[in-house]
Amino acid sequence: MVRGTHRHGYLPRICLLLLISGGLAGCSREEISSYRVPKEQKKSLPRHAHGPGDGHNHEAPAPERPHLHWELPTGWSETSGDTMRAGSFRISAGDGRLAEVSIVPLQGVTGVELESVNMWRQSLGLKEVGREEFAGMTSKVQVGPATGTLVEMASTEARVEGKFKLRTIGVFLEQEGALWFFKMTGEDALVAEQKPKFLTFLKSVTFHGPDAHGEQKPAVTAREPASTTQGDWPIPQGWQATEPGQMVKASYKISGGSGQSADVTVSVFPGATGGLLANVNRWRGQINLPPIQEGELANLVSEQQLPRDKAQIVDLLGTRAGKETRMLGAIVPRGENTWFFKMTGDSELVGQQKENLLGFIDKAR
Amino acid sequence: MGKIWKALSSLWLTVILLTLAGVLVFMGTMAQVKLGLYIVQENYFQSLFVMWGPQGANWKIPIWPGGYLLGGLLLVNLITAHVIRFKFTKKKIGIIMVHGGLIFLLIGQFLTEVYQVESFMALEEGSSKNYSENGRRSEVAIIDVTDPQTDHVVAIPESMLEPGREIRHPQLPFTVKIHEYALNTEPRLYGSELRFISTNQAVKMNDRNIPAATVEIKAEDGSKGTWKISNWLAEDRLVGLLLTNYSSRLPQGFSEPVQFEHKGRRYEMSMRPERYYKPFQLHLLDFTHERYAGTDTPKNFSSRVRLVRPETNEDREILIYMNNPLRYWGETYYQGGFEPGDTVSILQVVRNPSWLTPYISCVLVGVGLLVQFLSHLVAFAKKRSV
Repeated sequence: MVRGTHRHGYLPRICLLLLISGGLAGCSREEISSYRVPKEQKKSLPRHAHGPGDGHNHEAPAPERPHLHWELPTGWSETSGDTMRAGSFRISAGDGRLAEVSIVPLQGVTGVELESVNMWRQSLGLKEVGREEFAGMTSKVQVGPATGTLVEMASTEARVEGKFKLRTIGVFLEQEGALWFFKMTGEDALVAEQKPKFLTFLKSVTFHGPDAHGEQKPAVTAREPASTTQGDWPIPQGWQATEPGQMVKASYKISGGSGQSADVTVSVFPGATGGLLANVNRWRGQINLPPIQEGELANLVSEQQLPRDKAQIVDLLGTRAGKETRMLGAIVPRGENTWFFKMTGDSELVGQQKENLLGFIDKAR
Repeated sequence: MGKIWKALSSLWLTVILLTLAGVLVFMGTMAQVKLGLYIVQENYFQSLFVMWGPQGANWKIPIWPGGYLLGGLLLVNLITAHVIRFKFTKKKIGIIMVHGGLIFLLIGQFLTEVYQVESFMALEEGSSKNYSENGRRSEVAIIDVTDPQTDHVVAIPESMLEPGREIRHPQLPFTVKIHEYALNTEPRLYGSELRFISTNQAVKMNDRNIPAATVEIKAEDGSKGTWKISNWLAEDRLVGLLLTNYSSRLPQGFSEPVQFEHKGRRYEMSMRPERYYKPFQLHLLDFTHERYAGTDTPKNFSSRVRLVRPETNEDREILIYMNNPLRYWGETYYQGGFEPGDTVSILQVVRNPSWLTPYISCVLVGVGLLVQFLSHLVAFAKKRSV
C-alpha cells in the first residue's frame, strides 16, 4: 500500500517536469516580429542611379565615390555607364564574336576576390579553387600608379551558342578606399588577342578619390559620348531595349497588358553556324522540348519571303519555369553571316507580336 | 506499473542509453563528412529519431534514436532512479549532489539548445551597428518607410516561407503570399533577367545557404505585385559578387529593395539575414591583427570598440580580443574573425540565458565528489583508529 501511494506521488512530479520541458521547447518557435528602428544610413555599395521623379529622397547626398580616368584603346566602344560601374566597354570582332570590359569599384566590401574568381570560373564551367590554388594562379600587373593582381581563365568547352569558348581576364586591387575589379570577358580568341590592349588600358588608368568638397562627381569623367553597339534600327512600339548578353547583338523586352512578357534577341554569327537542325534543337531545348530528327524539320520550319531576305521561321510551344512559353525563331542568312532573331515569352503575346517581329527583321540589318 | 517504473529507473537502461548515445556520436561523426556539421546536428542530435529513406523517395523510417530522445530518456532515468531508489540520507549527500549536477547539466544543455541564439556583427573600422545578424537564417523584412525618422519593420522568419502560404499579421495591412521559396540558390543571368536557381543545401562548415523567394503582396484592392527577393540582392558582399561576375549585363538598380505603396504609406521589402536589434551602438575604432614575424600565422587579433547607449548615458571603450569577450545586455561578444584586408572585424554574438548552468553543474558535481570521497575517507580513518 505504501509503495502504491509513493508511485502516485512521483508520477505527477515527473509529468510536470516533462511538461515544463516541452512547454519551454515550444516557446522557441519562430514567429513574425514587429519593431521600430531609427532609419539606417544608406548602404555603401552603389545601388541605383536616382533620377528626378523616381520617388526617392534626392535631398540626401549620395555617397561619394572614387572615380577613374583612362585612355580608350582603339576598337573599344563605351557602353552607357551607371552608378554601379565605373566603366564598361564592348569589343566586337566584326564576325559576331564579342568581348566586354567592366570596371566595378566595391566600397565597404573586402576579401571577395576568391569568391568572385570562383563565380567567374563557374560561369566558364571550371571547378572552384581553394585559397592556395588561387594564389598560384595570380600574377602582378600595373594598374595606373598601383600594382594589381591578375588572374586569367578560359573554358575548356564551348559555352556560347554551343560553339564559342569563353575567356576571362580579371584584375583587382585596393585603391582609394575601394576594391576595384577590372574584367575582360568574351570569346576566347578575341579576349586573348585583346589582352595587350587591356594591359595598356590598365596602365593608363588614374585613380581619383572622393571629391573633397562633398560634391558628387560622376563615377567616370572625361568620357567620350556614350555609344552602344546595340543596333540603331527602328524598333516596334512597345519594345524596350535591354542590355544584351554575351554574343547577343541586341535584346528587347515586350510587356503585355496583364503581366505578360516576351524577350527578343538578335545574334549574328559567321557561316551556317552548325546547320538548321542543330539550331532548332538548341532552341527546342531552351523551352524544354525534346530534340527532333532531320526528317521532322520540314514539318516545323517554314520558309518566308521578306522584302529583302528569305527567312526560315520556327514556331515552337513549350514550357519555361513551368509556364507555357512560345518561341518564334527566324534564321536569316545575309552574305557570309547568319542572323538569328528569337522572340520568347507568353504564347498570346508572342502571337500578337509576330507581325512586329517580321517587320523588325527586315529593318534590323 | 511497478515494472515500468523499475525499468525506467534501472541501471541497465542507463547502460543501454549510454551505448546507444556512443553509437549515435559515431554515426553523426561519420555522417558529418558528407552532410556537414549543421545538418548532422539537426538530423542526429536535435531530433527524436535519425531518419533514413532511399535516395529520391519521399518517405523515411526511423533507424536510430536521436539526441533528444536519448537525452530525454537519460534524464527520466536519472530522475526516476532518484525518486524511486535513492533515499535522502546524510551518507548519500555526495552522490545526490553529483547526480543533481548531471540532471542540471542535461536540462541546461536542453535549454541552451532551445534558447541560445548565435549571430555575428561585422564592423568596418569607423562604422557602427546596433544589430547583429544570423549567418544561417534569413527573414523577409517588410518595412514601412513613410516616417522620416524611424522605420517600422515586420520581419517574417524564413521558416514560414512555404510555397502557397498566405501570411497575415496585425501590423501588416495586406497579405503576403509566398509563391516560391528555395533554401539555397545560385544566380543566373538570362538576357538581362536575374534568376535564382535552387541548388543543394550548403554542407561545408564555411558555406552558407543563400535563399530566394517569389512573394506577392495582396491587398483588398488587388495585387500590388509579385517580386523575386533574395539575400543575393540585399547583402553588400553578395551584390558585389553579382556586379563583378555579370558586370555590365545587370539591369540598373537590380539590387534596390522592392518598393510599393498602400493606402498612402510607402513600403520596402527585401530578404536579408535575420537581425537582432540592440538598445545600444557598437562603433569599431580600431582592428588589430598581429602575425608572427615572417609568417601569416595570426598571433593576436583584437577590436577596440566604443559602446554608446544613450538611455543609460553609457559611452565607453572596450578592447575585445581572443578569450576576452565583452559581456553586455545578456550577450557575449567574442572576437570571432576578420575579413581579408584587416579593416573588418567580425564579432560573434551569443545570447544564452542558461550560460551559467554548465558552471553550476560542474561545481555541484565537483563538490559532490569531494563530499563523497571525504565522507568515505573519514569513515575509513575512523575505522582504522578503532
